[in-house]
Amino acid sequence: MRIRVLWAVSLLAACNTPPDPCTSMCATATDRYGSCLAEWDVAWEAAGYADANDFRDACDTWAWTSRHLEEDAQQDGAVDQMCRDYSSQLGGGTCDDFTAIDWAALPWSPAHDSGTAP
Amino acid sequence: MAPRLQLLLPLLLSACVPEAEVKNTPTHVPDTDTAEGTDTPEGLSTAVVSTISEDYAVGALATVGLSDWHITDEIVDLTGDTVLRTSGDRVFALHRFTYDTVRIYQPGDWSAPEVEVALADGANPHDVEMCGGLAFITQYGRNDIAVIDPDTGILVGAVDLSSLADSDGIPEVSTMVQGAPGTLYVGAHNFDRNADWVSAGGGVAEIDCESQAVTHTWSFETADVYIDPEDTDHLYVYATGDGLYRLDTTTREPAFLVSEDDLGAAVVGLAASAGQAVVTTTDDAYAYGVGCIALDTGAFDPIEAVDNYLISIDANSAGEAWVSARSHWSNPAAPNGLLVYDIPTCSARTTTGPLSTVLAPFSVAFY
Repeated sequence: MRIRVLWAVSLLAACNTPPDPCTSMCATATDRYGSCLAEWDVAWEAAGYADANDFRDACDTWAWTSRHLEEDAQQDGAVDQMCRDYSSQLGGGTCDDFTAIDWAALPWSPAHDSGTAP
Repeated sequence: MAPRLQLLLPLLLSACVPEAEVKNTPTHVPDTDTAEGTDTPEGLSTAVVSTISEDYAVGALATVGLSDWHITDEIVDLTGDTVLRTSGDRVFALHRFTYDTVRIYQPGDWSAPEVEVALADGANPHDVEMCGGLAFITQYGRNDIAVIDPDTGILVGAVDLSSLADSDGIPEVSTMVQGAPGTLYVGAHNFDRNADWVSAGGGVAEIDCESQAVTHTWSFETADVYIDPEDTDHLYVYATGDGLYRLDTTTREPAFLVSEDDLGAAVVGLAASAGQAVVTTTDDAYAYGVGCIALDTGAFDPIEAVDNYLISIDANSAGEAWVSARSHWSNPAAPNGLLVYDIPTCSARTTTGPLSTVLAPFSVAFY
């Protein structure tokens, strides 16, 4: 009986895991940029990506990398918020909404490395 | 995303970049007693140079002070085919054949690029101009111009150049200049890739930056475009095998200036200032020289013959032309280096030999 209860709790906990906001943002960004490229009559290749899947993969990698930086900078939750903000921005539905995003920007100031000083 | 990811690594590595070591300070310095002197416009202080090895395998970045010709060499690695350009307030490193990437730097900060852009496979970026806040990049291996947001590295548009293409579909567009603000001009070489790269025409296109569209075209054989920054109403078009034209950008009418026959050589590069141009030339025996062309009459005045292969020529707003010279079969012992000329007086300023870099200079930009 106790084991069944534990299984049920575990399953419920799994169901309660919130969706990753970066996953949905990357899906939206892929659709949006793909539409823009089509509007400009250029292929994904012109933008440096093999196809839409390649862009989506790059976006997912960007999120993964950003979370490593977030952890180093002790900025818990900042990347999730950034992805939610980008999703909101992309909801406007225009190419300007996409191109206005600065993917190189971090929502916190990166710590400076002291380098190799002795 | 790709620019983002490519930016992260250099950012992390930048902490490990050592101080640039001064490798070479020439004993000769600019003549500051001449009327022209070395006065430079406010804010213009430095030549930034891409250098390459003899086998084109590797390259490096160097800087030269415009006031004292002090050289700081081998600051960071570059590819073996990197052209440098300054446009707006940025320095662009165009990594050309087989590299197909562009790095954008803040002038003087070489520890890491602000942005790195991956272009399409085989793009072969040749030239860049900032126009309307966006970077327009000619691509020798494609039939369009990439339009990039220089802040993010994202492709935000393209200019279709298929109307310039020959039968292989690619017009081989290389040089690009800006006339009146908002209007670009590009030169097309047009080689037939399906027939041993024989010449297949050529031309010039006028492009409106806002609409990102071609607004006019002209036919010129294997064309390159140049401009005198003090006279943007005229464009100078060199048509290979033919000669130099002066094209009125307001009436769109070209006028013939001087022929290759009259020059006795072909022009391989041109740097203009205040109605005069310093040109690099090569004759039928592939001997190189430097001379001047008056841009109103086409009169040619040779300065000197050189025992070097003259790779490029670039002008700065102080009226100087900087020529990248490397060793040539005519005299393998001739030193590599930078030759500097004063455009208004049509005279050499490097009179005791070139400004020597460790690897041969390849391309020069100024900031």
